[in-house]
Amino acid sequence: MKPLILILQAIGPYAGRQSVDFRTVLDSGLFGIYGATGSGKSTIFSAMTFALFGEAARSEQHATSLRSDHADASLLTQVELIFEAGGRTYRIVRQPEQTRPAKRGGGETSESHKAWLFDVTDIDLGKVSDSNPGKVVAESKVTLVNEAIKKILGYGAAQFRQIVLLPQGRFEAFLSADTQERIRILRDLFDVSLYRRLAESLKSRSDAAEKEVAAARTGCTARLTAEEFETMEQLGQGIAEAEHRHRDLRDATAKAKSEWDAAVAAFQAAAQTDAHFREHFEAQAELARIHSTRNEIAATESRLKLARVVASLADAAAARDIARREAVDASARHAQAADRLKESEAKAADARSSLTALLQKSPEIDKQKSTLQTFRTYQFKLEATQNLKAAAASAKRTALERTASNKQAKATFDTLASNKVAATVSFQAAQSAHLQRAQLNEAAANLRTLYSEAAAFDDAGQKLRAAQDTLNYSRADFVKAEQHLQQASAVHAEIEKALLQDHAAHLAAHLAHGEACPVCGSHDHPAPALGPGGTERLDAKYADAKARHEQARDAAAAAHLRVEVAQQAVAGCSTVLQALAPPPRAATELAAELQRVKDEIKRLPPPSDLVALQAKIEELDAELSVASACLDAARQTELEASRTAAAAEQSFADALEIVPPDLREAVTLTAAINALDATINAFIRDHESATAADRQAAEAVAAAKAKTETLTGEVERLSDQLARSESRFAARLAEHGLTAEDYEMRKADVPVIPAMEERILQYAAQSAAAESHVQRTAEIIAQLQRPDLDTLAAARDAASKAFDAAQAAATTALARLKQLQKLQSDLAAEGQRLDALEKETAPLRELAEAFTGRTYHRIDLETFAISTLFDRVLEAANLRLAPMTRARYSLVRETEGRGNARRGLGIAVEDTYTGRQRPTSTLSGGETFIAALALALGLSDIVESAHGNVRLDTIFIDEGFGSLDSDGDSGTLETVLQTLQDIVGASRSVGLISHVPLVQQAIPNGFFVTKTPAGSHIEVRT
Amino acid sequence: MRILHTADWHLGRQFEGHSLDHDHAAVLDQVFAAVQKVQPDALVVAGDIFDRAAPPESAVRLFNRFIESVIANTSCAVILIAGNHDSADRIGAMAMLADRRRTLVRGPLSSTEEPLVLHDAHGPVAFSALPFGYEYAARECFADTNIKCPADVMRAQIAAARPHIPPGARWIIVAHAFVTGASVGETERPLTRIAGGIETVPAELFSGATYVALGHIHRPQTAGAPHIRYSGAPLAFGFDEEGNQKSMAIVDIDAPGNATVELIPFQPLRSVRTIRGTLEELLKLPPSEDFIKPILTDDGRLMDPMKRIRERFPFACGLTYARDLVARQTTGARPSTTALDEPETVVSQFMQVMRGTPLSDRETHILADTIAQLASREDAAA
Repeated sequence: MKPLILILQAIGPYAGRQSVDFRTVLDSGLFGIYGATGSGKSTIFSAMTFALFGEAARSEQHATSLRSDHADASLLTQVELIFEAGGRTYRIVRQPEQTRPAKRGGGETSESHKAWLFDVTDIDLGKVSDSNPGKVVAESKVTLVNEAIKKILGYGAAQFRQIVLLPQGRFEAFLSADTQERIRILRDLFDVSLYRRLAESLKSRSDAAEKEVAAARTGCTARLTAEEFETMEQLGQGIAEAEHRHRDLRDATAKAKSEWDAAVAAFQAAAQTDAHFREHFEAQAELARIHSTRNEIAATESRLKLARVVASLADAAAARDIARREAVDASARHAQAADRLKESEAKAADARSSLTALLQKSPEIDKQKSTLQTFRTYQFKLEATQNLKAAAASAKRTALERTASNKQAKATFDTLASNKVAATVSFQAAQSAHLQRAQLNEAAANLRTLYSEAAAFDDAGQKLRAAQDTLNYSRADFVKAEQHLQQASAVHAEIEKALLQDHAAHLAAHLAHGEACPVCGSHDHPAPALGPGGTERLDAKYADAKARHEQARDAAAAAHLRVEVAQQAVAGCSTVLQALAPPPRAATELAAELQRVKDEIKRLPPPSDLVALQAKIEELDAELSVASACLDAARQTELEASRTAAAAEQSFADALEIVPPDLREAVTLTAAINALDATINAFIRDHESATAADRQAAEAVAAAKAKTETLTGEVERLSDQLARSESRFAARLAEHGLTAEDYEMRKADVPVIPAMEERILQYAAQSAAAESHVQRTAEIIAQLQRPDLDTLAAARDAASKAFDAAQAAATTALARLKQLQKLQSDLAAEGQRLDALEKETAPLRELAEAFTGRTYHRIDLETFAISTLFDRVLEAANLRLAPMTRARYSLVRETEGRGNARRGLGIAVEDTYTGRQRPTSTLSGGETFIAALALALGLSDIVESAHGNVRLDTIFIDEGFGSLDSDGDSGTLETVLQTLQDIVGASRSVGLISHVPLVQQAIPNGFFVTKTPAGSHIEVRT
Repeated sequence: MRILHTADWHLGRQFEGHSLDHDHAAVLDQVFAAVQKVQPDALVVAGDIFDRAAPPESAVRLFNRFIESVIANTSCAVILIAGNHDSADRIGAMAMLADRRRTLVRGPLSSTEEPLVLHDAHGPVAFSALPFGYEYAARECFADTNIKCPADVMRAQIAAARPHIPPGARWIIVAHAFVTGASVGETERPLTRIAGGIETVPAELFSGATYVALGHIHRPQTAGAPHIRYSGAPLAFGFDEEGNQKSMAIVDIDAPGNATVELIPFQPLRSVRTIRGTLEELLKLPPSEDFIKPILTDDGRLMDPMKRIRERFPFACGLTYARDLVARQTTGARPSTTALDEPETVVSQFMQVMRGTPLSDRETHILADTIAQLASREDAAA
């Protein structure tokens, strides 16, 4: 972030609107903000922080307290900051929550906190204003603006105070912070959340693994408890007991089984005996059932007899049936043949009538054939006249072309003739203008000569008059000067006399009797001059009069000289005038005349080339004669061509006379011929096909007649045969004493003859078998006693039940045994699995515990990551600290506690002079300031390199230099400022707030804040 | 005409926190002795008389005593200007009560630079004393907004002085500036306020001057021409000046205005020097009250080395280890970039530091797995 312009309005000591233009000083690297205590140096910082984040520079100062107490009530408190970040320029305007007089009524309105953020990249910053605010990024809604700012800068208010704008008293905070506080600050500045999340994630995985094992182990215990065991050993004993019990029950089961087997065998033997008795009774019943069907068998025997007779008559009946069928067939075929004959006869009649109709058309066709012949002759004629037609057309075209040529030749001739007339007219006009101009020019030349002579004469006259005037004036002056001289001379003589008188009086006053007169040397002084004598004023007057007299004399001489000069001038001028002849006409008259002639010349047309015009006319004459010849030739040609065309047209018309006009076109004629051809050919084809059809129909009638006759004979023969067969069948029926009805009735029994024969035989065999069975069983049971089956069955069932019960008990015992054995093996396997799982997740748990700081000196991973950064911060700080302390001090991580190697974020200072580390609290005020400054700069460096989007172009430091301004530290401030200039100023600007004169002296450029009762003012010096 | 030219006294300055009062008194005695011996017509002090705007009383006392003896015991004229370390107004205050025929004291800038004119057998010699002033002050004083750099200030000052030089007089300019071609040390405070700005003044500006008596650069030297000269400071103020012979210049100006210079070396009370070696070696050197900068070539950190060195060299300062110097040169100005974005490295270091062993393969695997999970969760959230 690089601040460019800050505008403060009604803030702190600034009652009105104050603008701070940082652009002028940013190039300097180091610049200062100076002013008396309370003048508002730190307010500049507060305003900047407030503009960006809505908070004052010191977090405990509330933004509403920014309001200036001196400001006009109607002027709203507002901060505007234009700054550069990430290659763009932004303008942020912010107003804190405040009250102001209501627009209506006397009360107060309260205004809420408001902010606006604009993008003013590429706008001339001098022109940015509320009416040209730039592109809106976020507006009015403070939260939106704050979010946008955080996004642009990459840091918030707390970080801003830590690394960009280090407020008063907070500067050493990082140096003097304890480990926890320092971790908090670093965590705010750097994003180490990855390590926290890493630790959390590992922790949750490790917990999950642990929980799984614990749950599984609880499950195992529960299963043991469910079987009423507490330990695996008890389970082993239980299994042994179960085995024992199972063995006993298995033996009991075997015994029950053998008893049950015996009961079953006894029952089976009794059942066999009983079966013989039941067989005998059943054989008796069977025999009775067979005998009951005897009547039915007798009826069947009589039916069989009649059926056999009917069967012997079958051949005669078949012969009669065949004869009947053949007779019916033949008469049907005869009827069919008669129908076909009728059909053929109708077709033959149709064919004959078609043929007759065609033959009626024949004379018409003959007529058409002759027309066709005629048309063919026309066609031949047309072809023969084709050449004549082409010749006529060509002759006509030639005639048209000739006519056009003739017209063109005529036009050319006319144009040339009119051109010639025009050229002749121009030539005559040019000739007359030429003559006129020559005359006028001559007249003008004469006039000019006359005019210059007249002008010279006038000039000489004027000069003479002027010289005479000068002479007159000079004479008057001379007379005046003479008078003046006489006056001055008189005054001079008078004053001289008075002066001499005075001098004499003066001398006389000093005369003493007996002493020599200084003038004449006489010792006698008979007539001393009288008067006061020695008057100084007369001296001056005399000098003055003398000077005036001399001046007048000089003036008279000068005037006389001027008179003489003027006289000479008059004489010269009159000589000149006399030499000139008086002009015949006045100069003005001549000038007017000359102007008139000149105007006339101007009015003439411009001179033209007469020779060229003459040549042009001759040229046109030559062209005209050529054109005339061309025109004659063209006329002749046109006449000839039109004659040729008429002749050709006539010979073509003669040749075509015999052809009717509507057939003179070859296409029409060909079409007519083709139509005739088609009609004739169609007729020939129709006639041929009708003749063939007639012949075929006659043949078909003949064939049908022959077939009908053959079939009539066949019908008669078969009728006879049928009558013979029927009489033969009737004779055979009578032989056996049967009627035709009897025969028809018994015919159905013929197919069942074998079944009836079988039935009769079967009855005989069954009857015999049943009788012998009864006989045989009676013999078997003769010696036997029937047993009591129910008792035996009850004994057997009881034995079975006893066995089932024994077996069930044994199975239960076995199941129990198996269950316990399975439990034992399950639990053993689960135990192994859990042991393995625990072993496998051991590294996970170790990492998780290490990361969350539960082992290893209670340092978690996040703290470690921060401390890694902290090392780099110290490294960067030491790069500054070394030159500032002449390599005496360097900052190192403090080793805490004894025996416990924990290294927190404590800072100690290593003193090269003593070779020892000591706490930073033992540094002097100035050293503390230097160390804190180096640390702050180092922190800025690392923040900048750790965050891609954070740019710390400008850093501000509020105070602290006071601690360096003691006699004992004199060179240090110089060194510190020099170091800042060298290692900081090159990459970024550093603004220092200070009231220390030495700082101001060393860094003279920057802002000077002056305090007045009406509010403070900021002045920039570069 | 004979002139004694000196400058950059920096009275009140300390050497690494040690008072230089006695050293200053010694060199001022040498200046006074020279004044008495060579009998110059004028003593010139070309700025930075005091080390700072508000000098300590001891420094003022030293200065007062010196000036008092010069005025009382010699007929030498005194010409003083304010340098960039001086307070122009405080220096200017001295001019108010001084004898204007014998002294020329110039503090703040002025738009009329009246010279002090002295006479010798060959005629007049005019001294223009041009104090140091910043551009903003010059813009105000000369009412010229185009003054942008020290050269512009000097140009305006010379323009203000030139019209007052009597015709035919030899002209001596006294100024406090960084004239092109001079080589600067570590103890001069830059005159420009813009980092990388041009602070030098071209020598051509002084055209017409017989001799230019300059202050600001602490090593005696000429700048651009033989008659444009820095007298240098009377004392070394930093270790970089070790071995520099400090001197004042006696300048004789003849009739046509040629300047002949003779240097009178200063004999400082204490010299400034560096000693190098192991502590044991250094402690065998003969004891001295000089300003000593010890450079230790020992490998390990020693206990209380400074205390032991100061027993022998009470004014030792700036103790360093030779290896630190090498390290500082090779490290460069930028610290290495942070490794925060390489969690594997950070975790590995963490375990190494905490447990003493690096990550096992299994642990590396778990870590990579977890990091991947976190990343995918972040992606899902994004």
